[in-house]
Amino acid sequence: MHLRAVYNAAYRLTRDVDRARDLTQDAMLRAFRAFDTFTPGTNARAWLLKIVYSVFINQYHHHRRTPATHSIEALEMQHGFEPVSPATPMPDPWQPEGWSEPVVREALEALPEEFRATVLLVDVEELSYEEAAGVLDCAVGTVRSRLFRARRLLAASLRAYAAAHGRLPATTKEAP
Amino acid sequence: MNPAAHPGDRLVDFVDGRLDPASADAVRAHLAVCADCRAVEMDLRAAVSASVALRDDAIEMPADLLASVSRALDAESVRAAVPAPVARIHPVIRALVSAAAIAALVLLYLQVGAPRPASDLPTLVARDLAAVGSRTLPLAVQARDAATLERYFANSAGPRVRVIDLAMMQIALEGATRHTLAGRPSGLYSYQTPSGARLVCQMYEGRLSDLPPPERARDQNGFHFQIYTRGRVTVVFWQEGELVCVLASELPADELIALAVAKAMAPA
Repeated sequence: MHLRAVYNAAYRLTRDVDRARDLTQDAMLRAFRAFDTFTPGTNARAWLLKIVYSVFINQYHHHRRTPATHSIEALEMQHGFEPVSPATPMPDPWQPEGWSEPVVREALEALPEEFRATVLLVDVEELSYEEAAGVLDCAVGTVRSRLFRARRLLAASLRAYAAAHGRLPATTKEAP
Repeated sequence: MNPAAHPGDRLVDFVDGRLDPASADAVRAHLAVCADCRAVEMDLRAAVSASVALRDDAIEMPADLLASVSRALDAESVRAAVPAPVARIHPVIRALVSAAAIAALVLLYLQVGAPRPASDLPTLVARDLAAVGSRTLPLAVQARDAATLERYFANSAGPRVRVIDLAMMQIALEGATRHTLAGRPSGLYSYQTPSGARLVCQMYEGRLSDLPPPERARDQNGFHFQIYTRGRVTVVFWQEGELVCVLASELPADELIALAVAKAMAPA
């Protein structure tokens, strides 16, 4: 049911049960009032998510309650972004010891809001770039660019986590 | 794309399968010779794989969220349907509108089709059909025989409701509840066909003239039937004495109209 999808999105955004509840209620009320903006035959979930994200962003700008995150540039600098060698494999996320939800969540939460939102919409909520661009009110090219940078940072964070916990497989040098 | 050029953020399109075959081949050719881009591609894929793990994360929805959202929507619905001064003078009107009627909100709106005024009775009836189906509008009593449901209506406050028995048509009663339609107390009961299609019947005190102009009308057996379509739902109204009766279902319209015509009955 869509209420669950709305609450899940709200919770992923806020990481707080009470705020997710408020956000869900506000978003559903907004949807109720704005129903005439929905075009039958289009993606209802994307329409609802647009409302959820819109309410969330408005709350954020109004209340400034969202924890501050570093700028994307600062994060990229922090991770060096020297491309790692393909011979430095990542742990296989599909293996039993693959990424746990809390680890991924923590890595996602470190991303600036608009980058985190883009990853959530495309990779978690499974919207198309076009639908995500509609939700975020930005160009498809912006979605692509944000995904590119956000996914790289996410991978860098996960790699750092894996290294800190001794989970990176032994590095093997490529044959020259 | 020039295979010698780094694809940059087009790698995201490549990883997500958004490139046309020629562009994808060009990226593949580049990756074959560029270790840096291969590393970036690997990172992008790893990030997607990690995020996918969140798709099925077990986020527990608060047990009372549906009820609290329903209450908020209920209040909003009443605000939209009732003139403000009346709402202030008679707060009890708020209580007359069942929270459950509004509960499934957007999903139900989507099922009933294009937006209508908040007080559009055919829309509200179609929404109730969806709400019964999704169990967001629970039935107070569940029984498959008309006598039990009529006893329930006789022993509960609200208009006297007769229960139409469709067992001869292999359409089984499910249960009943007291409800409201735009603030009007109603009796609601539902049926299921052998194929799982659901019908909902409601009766409330009112006049057909309160309804919007119908898309179709039919006069038969001394009754006037007003027929509406809301999304996939057909809604048929007719008058029996002081009561307005309405049947709603996603059954083919002609089948539903035939049922209404067959079962309309002048009050004793």
